Amino acid sequence: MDALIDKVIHTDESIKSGSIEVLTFQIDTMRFAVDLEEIYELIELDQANQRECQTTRFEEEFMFGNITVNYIAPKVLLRKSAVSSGVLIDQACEICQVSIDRIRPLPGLVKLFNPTRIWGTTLIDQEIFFLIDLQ
Amino acid sequence: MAQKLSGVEAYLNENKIDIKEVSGRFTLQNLVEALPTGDEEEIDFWLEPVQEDFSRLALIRKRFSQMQLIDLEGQEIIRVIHDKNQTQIIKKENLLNIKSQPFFKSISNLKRDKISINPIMAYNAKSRESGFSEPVIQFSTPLFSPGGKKIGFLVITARAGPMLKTFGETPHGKIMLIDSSGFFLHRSDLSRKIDWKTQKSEEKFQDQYSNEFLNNIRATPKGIIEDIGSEFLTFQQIAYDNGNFEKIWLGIYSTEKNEILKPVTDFRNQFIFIITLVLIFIFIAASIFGENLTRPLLKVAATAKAIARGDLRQKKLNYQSEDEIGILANTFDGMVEQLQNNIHSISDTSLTLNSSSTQISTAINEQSSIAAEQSASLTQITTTLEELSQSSSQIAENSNSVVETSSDALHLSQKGAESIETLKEKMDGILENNKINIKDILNLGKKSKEIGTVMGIINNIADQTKLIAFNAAIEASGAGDAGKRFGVVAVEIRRLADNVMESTNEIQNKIEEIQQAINRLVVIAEKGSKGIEEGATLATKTITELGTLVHGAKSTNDEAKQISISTQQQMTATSQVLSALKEIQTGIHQSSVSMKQTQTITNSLADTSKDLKRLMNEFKINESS
Amino acid sequence: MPSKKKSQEILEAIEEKQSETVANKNQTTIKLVIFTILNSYYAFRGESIKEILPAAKINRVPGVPNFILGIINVRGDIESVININNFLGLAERGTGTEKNIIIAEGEGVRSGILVGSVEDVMDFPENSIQPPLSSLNDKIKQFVIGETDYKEQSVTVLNVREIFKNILAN
Repeated sequence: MDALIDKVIHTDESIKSGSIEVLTFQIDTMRFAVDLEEIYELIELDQANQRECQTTRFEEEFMFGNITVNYIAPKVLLRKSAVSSGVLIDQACEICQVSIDRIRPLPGLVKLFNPTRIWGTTLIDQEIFFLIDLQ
Repeated sequence: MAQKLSGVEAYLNENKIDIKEVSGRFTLQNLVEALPTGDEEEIDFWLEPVQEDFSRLALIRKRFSQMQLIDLEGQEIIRVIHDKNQTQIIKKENLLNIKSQPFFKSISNLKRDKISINPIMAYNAKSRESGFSEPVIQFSTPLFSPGGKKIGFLVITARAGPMLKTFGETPHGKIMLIDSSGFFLHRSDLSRKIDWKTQKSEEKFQDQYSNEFLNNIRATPKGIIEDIGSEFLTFQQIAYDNGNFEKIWLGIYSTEKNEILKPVTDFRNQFIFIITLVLIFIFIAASIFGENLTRPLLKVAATAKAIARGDLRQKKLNYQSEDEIGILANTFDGMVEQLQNNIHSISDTSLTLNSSSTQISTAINEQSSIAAEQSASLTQITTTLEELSQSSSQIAENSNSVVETSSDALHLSQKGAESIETLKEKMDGILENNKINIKDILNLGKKSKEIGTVMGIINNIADQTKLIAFNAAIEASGAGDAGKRFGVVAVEIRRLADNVMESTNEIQNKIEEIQQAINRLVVIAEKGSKGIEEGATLATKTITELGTLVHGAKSTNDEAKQISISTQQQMTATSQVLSALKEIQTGIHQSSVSMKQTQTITNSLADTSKDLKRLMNEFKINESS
Repeated sequence: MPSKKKSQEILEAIEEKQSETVANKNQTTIKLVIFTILNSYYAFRGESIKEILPAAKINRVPGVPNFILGIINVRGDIESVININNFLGLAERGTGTEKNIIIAEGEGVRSGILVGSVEDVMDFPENSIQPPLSSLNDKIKQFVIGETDYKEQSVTVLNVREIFKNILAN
């Protein structure tokens, strides 16, 4: 097993330079971001229904526990990997460029207890966004 | 008698008028002017008409006996005498200069239009042969030329006989005319005439009536005297010289009191005489006619005797026969009846007189007592009014002092109002200032809160410094040698952090103190502000109340002035009433005096009636007849 | 003639002291980080502590147990923050006035621990740490190293590694 202590990546030791583009959205008080490359399409809920997409609620897929989310401005995020299935997301904000230096993995302890498909965090405007794996 | 005396006065006045008229005639004046020139023609020219004038005058005025003209030197220039329709002229040559005579002296200073009257004197005309002098009065007046120059004197002599004759005879008393010295000018009771020759009668009034009495009656214009013996006297003054009341004559009328009763006494005497005659006759008749006559005659005699004694209550004789005795008896009866009736009526009269005088007396007494009561009541009223007057003046004084006091109060309260206005203004000023101060203080409070924010920042810094120190210490413990050296740095950092902590604590405390002080200041200022607001409210209230007071004081002032005026008016009215009352009192007093006089007179009347009654009582009469 | 110069004596004294200090230094002292949780004093051994931070906005992480409060951003890095109240037998909920996060490391675990406030970081001689009172709760006993005094307050010295061990075990 890999050491759960990930090395803190210092800015002067960057392994990779570059950036990814992400779509940010907010569920409840939590902020999420998805790599654009994983997204096929972002459509309205009724569109998704029309298309008869397989839509899962976000909290179900990412195993929030007992929380039921109240969607304020729901949209469906279609996966690239499976275009007919999507995830219900809320309050889609914007598309940002995130440089890799600013991506951090989840702290070890969190990772221990949270096997969900949050693979990392990033800071956008001093706010923490959870990077999620859409596939 | 007043009539007679007015006759005297009229006589005198007529003569005065005549002489005035004569003295104004130009014929006379020209004569007088001509006489000193010695121009005979001129003199004769004027003498004739003057003579004629005088003759005519003498014919009309029978009483004028002579006319004289006297020049300024006292020389009688001409005398015209008129006597028994004859006129005689005596010229200057035969006339005397009377300059030295007292008569001339008394007329020489006469002013124009003044007439001097000489008292009666005896006139002894040369031409008279009877040796009988008659009383005359001389009227003298000065003569003036048309130019106003005094040129001489005119003297007209008028007979006083006619005047005195008006006194005439008086049946029941005597009339006397006396001059100021008391000499009789006329006496109606003298059988002989007054001897005018000697210009006085032998007697004087004072001889009979005393000097004192004369002086008393000379002092009064007219009056009645009834307390001198048996006489009643009424008198009146006659002033015969214009307004000169020293030269007076007195007319006096005197009656004997007995005169009133004389008729009764006479009657009685007469009656006694008749009765005596009758007795004699009866005696003769009885002796002639014997017994048949004597009985009735004796009866008659007895009745007559009784009547003579005064007892009139006799039965009628009622003699039935037709003979002389019967006639005598009937006549006698009639006479007795008549006598009874007369005496009765006199008695009634005297009773009436008595009762009347008693009534008058009673009435007068009542009046007197009423007057006395009135007087007493008036005195009470006067006293009350005087008291009222006094208390009015008291009230006036008091109201005056009230006016003063209320004026003072008014003045003071006005001053007080002004003071409070000033105070209020000042307080408003203070309030304004205070508001500004509070604003400043509140701003200060805000600022102190801002300081608090700064403090927060400083505290933040302190905390952060502390953390740095802690982290430094942690680092130092891990890194071996390098760590040890870093440890020193860590200690220094720690020290710095501690200092910062201390300083910030101090600053914190100070700021808290300042904030508390400011809060206290704000509270105090607000309290003060409130206090001043309350003070301002109170001042306003006081001003209102003072306003009311001023208003009240003004009203009091006005009212006090009103009272003052009213009491003044009251006092005036009271004193007017007092004067009126005093007049009434005087009037009552006077009427009281008059009543006393009336009472006196009534009393004498009563006395007289008593006398009468006494006399009547001597006659016994039947009450019923 | 004085046996030693005064200055010599002084110097010797100083040298002695210094070696004493070194000796003292060589004596075992333990650095303790003293903090409060719910008004009670606790302490961690300094060697387990990496950093002390002021409390910051803790981002909730979905799907994790309650004692994991979330993650925080520390100068670009992400740290987790936990609440150890349960382990201490205290009420789980915080007061909301917590001022500090202590970054601790042990047993392969690194995490921030939310505490009331960090009072001090000091060296304590090892023998000043008393063994824990036997009346202490068993549950918490496993985490307690001992007890000491700080500013007349009793301080419970905790073993962070044990806590982390416990966490891993669950």
